[in-house]
Amino acid sequence: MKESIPPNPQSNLCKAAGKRVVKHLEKIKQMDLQEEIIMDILSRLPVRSLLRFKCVSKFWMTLISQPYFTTKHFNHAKNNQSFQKMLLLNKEYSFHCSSLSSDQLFEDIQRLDRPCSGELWGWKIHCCYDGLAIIGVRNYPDNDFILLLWNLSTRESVVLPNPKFSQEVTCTWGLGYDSTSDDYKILKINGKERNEVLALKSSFWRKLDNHPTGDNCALSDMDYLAFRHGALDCLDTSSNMGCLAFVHGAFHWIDSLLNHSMVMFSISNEVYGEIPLPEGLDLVFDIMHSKQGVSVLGGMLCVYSTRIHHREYTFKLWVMNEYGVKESWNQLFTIESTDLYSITPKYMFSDGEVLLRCSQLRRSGSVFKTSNESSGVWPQSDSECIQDGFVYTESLISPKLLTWY
Amino acid sequence: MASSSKTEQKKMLILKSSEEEEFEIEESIAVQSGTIKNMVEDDFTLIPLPNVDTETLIKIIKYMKKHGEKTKSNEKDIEEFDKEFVKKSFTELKELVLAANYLHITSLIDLLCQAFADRIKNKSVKAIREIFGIPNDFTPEEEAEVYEQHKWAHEEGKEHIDHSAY
Repeated sequence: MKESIPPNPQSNLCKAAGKRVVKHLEKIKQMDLQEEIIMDILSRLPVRSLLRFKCVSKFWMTLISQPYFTTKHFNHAKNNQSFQKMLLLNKEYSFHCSSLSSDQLFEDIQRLDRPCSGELWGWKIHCCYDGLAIIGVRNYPDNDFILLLWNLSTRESVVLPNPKFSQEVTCTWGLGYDSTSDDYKILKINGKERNEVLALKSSFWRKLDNHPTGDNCALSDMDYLAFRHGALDCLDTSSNMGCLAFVHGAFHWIDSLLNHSMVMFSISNEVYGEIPLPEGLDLVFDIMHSKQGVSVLGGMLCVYSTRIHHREYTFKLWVMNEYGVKESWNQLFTIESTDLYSITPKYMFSDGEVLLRCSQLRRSGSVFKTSNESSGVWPQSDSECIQDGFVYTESLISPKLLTWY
Repeated sequence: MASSSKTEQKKMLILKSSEEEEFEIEESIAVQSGTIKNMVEDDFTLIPLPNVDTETLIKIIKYMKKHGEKTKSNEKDIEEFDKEFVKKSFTELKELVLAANYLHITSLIDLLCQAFADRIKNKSVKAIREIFGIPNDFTPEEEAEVYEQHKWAHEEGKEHIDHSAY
């Protein structure tokens, strides 16, 4: 498109070209630019501000409500630490949410009203993903389970269909997004021919085949240690089952019959596979003395173990730098403690420190600390009893729009 | 023209504001603007900017000059500059972001949009309308309906809501 115009700015040809340019540039400046800029600004706001600003004008309301904006906002939020929050559930079954920081841990703790009203008890957070939580709760007096899909930032919730098999305490859940079908799926692993999956766009759970060689239980992740040490009143309040790790389009968990690899289940074609475990991690399924599990930190698959030896607990954490490549496992750190006997990694801060959920001797419920040696535990006081906490990203994703039935 | 070598004098451009004032600027700095870059590739050296007034153009040139001398060692310095750069009234910020958008200076658009976001997130709905010059086209009933849908967002922590339009 090179124009052969002599570089003399006074020439008539140059002036004419200048006029053409001006006309062209004038066309660009239309009202659309204003919209584009407003959308850019709004996509950087916390969800609460956006919900308030729906009242500004009809245009803003429409803008904030459209799916395109939800995606744009979420794409910005997921890479931004200030949009990562913590969901906490305490022993009285109250929910709280807070901001995260690697020095103060939890800031601006706010009470979150329960998603459903009614005679409900025994609340449990099954798993969290993309700002959505899967919550299980029991309904008086029928004692039925209700399964909820809850957006923690907009506080919108829907009731999901119940799985075919009852929601036993020994099952492990995972929520993930399938880009092939543009749908979210919930996976529930229970072994004993009871694995099921729910694609949100469908309205029913489907029974799945078991993994060919595994025993299909993520029981190795269960906090029997916590139970043994009296931290849990009964197995019923076991919020420390852990959840399935969803990353790279697949769910992952450790199976007691597979010694050198973990199970992976791809969300789009629903096929089982295996991911090799790190060299140096020997799986031990003596649940009284050991624990291991899979998690996701900073978008990377990670695996962790706790071993007890002579009253000292050793926690190790490995991160898989390159997904699927055994040699890329990297041992991040080791923690030795005489009183933190069950540690689960929850989140990696931008400075590399890791938020850990721990069970502590002589204390019920969970405590939190960071991998930084100088970090204290939270909550400090014994009077607070936190069952569990999950990290989530602020999002506008609407449970109602995901489940049109 | 012969291809430039390091010893040759730096190529200069002239930017002209909507008020016909001209400013000389090094090409290597000016091409931080995608719009200017395109015009330079079409061999223009006098760049008319009929959508940018003089005051705004001066600020933008200042930004581009500072960011043009970015090296690995002066990151903190540039961060400080950026922080001070956005300490302006909403009116000035609006002129700047429109100009930055028109000129396709990505880093400046990001900086300005983030500054807007940081400053408006706790503002009241009325303050937002004033800042952006948006008329309220809801009827009272319609507005009440939208308010009810997300009542908690308005009510919880409302002591922190900022009603000023500055």
